[in-house]
Amino acid sequence: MQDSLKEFRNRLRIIIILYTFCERENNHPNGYYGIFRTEIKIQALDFLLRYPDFLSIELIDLMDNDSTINREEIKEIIKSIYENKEPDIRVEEMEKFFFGAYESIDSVIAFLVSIGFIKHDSKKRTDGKTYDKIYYITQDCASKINNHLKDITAVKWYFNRCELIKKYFDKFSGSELKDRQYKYTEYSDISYQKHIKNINEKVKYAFSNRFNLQLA
Amino acid sequence: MSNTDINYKNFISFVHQNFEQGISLEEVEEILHLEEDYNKDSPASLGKSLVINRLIFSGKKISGEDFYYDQQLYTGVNVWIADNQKGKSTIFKIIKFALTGTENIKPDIKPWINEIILEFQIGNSVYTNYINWVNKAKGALYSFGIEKFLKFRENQKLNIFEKEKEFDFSSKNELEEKIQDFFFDHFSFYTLKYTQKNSSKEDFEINTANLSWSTYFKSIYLESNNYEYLFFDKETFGAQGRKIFEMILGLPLTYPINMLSIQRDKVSEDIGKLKLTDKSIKETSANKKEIINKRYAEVSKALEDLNKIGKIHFDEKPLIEEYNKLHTKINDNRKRARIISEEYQIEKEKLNTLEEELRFLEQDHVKVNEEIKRLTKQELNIGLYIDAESFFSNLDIKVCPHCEIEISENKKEQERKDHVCGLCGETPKQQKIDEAELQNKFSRIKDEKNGYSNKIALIQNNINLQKIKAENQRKLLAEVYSKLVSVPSDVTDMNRLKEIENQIETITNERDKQRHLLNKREDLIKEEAVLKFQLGEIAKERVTNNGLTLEKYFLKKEVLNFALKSLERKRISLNKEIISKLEELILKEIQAFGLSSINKIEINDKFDLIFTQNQVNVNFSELTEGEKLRAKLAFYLSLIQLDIEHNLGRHPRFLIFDAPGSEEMIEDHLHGLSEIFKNVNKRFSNKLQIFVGSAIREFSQITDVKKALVKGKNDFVF
Repeated sequence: MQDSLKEFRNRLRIIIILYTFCERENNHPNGYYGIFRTEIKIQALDFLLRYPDFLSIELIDLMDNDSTINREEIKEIIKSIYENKEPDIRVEEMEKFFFGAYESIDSVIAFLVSIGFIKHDSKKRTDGKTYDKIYYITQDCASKINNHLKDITAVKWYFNRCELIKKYFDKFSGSELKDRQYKYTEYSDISYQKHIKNINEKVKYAFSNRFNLQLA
Repeated sequence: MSNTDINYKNFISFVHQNFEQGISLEEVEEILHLEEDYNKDSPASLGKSLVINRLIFSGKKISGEDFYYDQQLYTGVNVWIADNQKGKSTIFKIIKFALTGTENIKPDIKPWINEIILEFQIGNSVYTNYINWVNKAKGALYSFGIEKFLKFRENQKLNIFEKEKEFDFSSKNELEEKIQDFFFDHFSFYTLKYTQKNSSKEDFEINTANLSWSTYFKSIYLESNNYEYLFFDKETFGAQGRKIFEMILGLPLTYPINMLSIQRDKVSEDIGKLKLTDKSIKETSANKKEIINKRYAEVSKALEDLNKIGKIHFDEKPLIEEYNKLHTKINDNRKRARIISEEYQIEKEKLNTLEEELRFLEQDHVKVNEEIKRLTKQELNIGLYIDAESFFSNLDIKVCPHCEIEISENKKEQERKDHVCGLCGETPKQQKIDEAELQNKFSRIKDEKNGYSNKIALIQNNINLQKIKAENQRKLLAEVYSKLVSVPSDVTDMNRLKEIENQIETITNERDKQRHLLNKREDLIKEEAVLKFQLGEIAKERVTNNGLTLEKYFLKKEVLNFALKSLERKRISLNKEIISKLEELILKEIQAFGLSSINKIEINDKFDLIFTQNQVNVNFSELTEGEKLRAKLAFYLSLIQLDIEHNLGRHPRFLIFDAPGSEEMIEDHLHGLSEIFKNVNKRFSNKLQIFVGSAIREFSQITDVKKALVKGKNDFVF
């Protein structure tokens, strides 16, 4: 049962990511709702979605390096994450696979393709490996999300979180996001196929340090 | 009373007169008193002579040859002629042994001899001395002749004649002792004494030696090695030669002079000892006095110092009081501190318990919280699934994700009908999650979560209560702690206590020292008194030791000296006749022996023979060898003649001349000597007996044939 539940959530997260972060295509010849580039970016964004503690530290880091960012807003976001015990209940454990957080999304993509939510395209290198994967989100998908999924209360958190992530991290490419994630030993030092440790203590220290306030 | 006797009492008085001032008559008599009569000696002849009648001795030579020597002997001159080393001396030595009990027979010959039988007579009495010499010298002196002895011995009847036995003996010593008494008795000889001083200079000890019968026998047996001397080689030692002379002549006053001389020597010895003792006493006293004086000075000084010190008063009472107070204070303080400390420990323990309980509660809280988190997450995920799963499940499979070809309606229809996948054509094994089951689980999780939430609320409540309790306990503990730290430190008091202890110890030590000094003072006072006394005693000792005793000895010596001088003077006058007669006889004989150069013989006060030869006085030792021999012969013959002609002296009229004159003797002297013996044999044929042993063949002529035992060249005497 757990696997079914997890597989469901994977499908849910990936489609919401693709929907939220896709570039809108108003005049695509095939009538697609939007285009999303690279699998790496899916993986990187999914990581931020799955680990609210990493998201929190990334926000602090962004704030530290960018004075235009509203510190108060960041403070409230992180405070809320911890008040809602997200690091305890929202974490979706992810295994690290060789170079960073990686979980195959092939079956999810295949499923999404099979139900006509997305189409995907890729260029192949001479050795046969694909690169520069492009995902096309169909109008049918967009309409079903808008008309059905967005109305389900339990799913609202995913849309809100994706909007939040989009606000602060959309400007980064997939590789850039990946590189940022590698800064954290809890992420980079983990051996093959182990779950990533939480960095709650680091966040709490950084938060207290920046805002002179204790997290819950 | 003989005309040579002196009156003893008159003599004592005479001596006393000379010392009237210092000594009483009784004391003089005490000094001069002798065991025997002063007139013990008499030159008057007893008319006794010693004659050897027969000698038998037998045994076995080393060669295994038995020998049996039996010789009849006669008055007058008996002669043994044999080569040297052929047994002549052994014959004489055997005779000497039988007559004195002392022997110097050659050690290699001695073991040959088994028995000796000698018949001799004194006056008309005949004696036989039998000596069995197989083991020790055993035997007896019988008062009968050899014939009878042999006869009875043969018949084993000797034991019948106990009455005719003078004595028997079972050792040489016993023979020597008994035969000495026998001859002393017969010839009125007795033991003269002489003193020998120890050779050590510091040793005043003197030994007294006796002249024995065997010493006197030296005037009978003139051994071949003694012709250099008038008597024998050691004649000057202890004036033994002179004493033999005195004894043989029976010179008056010999006994008192000899005894008083010994007394005088003993007094000299005592004086020497006393002086030595006195000297050592003086030295000891001096040393002792020095030591005592030194100690006396030390003791006096110590006493003086002690008196200066006086008595110090020590008062440690206030110290002890303070010490006790402090001790009580410290004890109280410590007791209080201990009580508070115990209280603190109890309260601390309580707090520990509370804190531990709190820790357990918090751990429970964490665990329950973890459970709640886990359940919340599950609730969230299941809720999400329940709410949103339909979003996907209601969608149809439209496209093959692999080839992107749309799924045909037929395949969709077939899937609905046959439940086979429109894409792969397989029948899916995975069951879809049962909604009811999911709902069931969802509500179960909710219930479980509620349970945990209640539990955590309870835990939280307990934690809060426990925290309050712990906080209260902490406050209590802080109070106790402040009480504990408010207990004053006893370091200062302890230091003061130690200080007092040291002070008291110092006082105790000082008091002990003083007590010791006071005890010492008494000891010193006692010692001072003893030392004073000792010094007084030493002073006295010096007076007593130096004085009387030594003086007494000196006086005694003087008395003895005076008495001796008087006696010697007296004896000169008493001896005058006998000595001058002897001088005449010797001179006559000596001239008869051809020493015409000697025209005067004088016997001086010391009884030395002084020969006036060619107007010069020479003594015996200064004569030539030939002269000595004839002078000696003349001297001994004169002693015998003195008896024969004048009835004076006590010589037994028996002489043994062993090897008189050597082969080297000049012809004239030798001839002269043989003539002398010939002459003597004629003149005194039955009045004396002379044995001559010689290697000189010419000597065989000096006597009758029967009296001569002449052995051929290299023949042994036995």
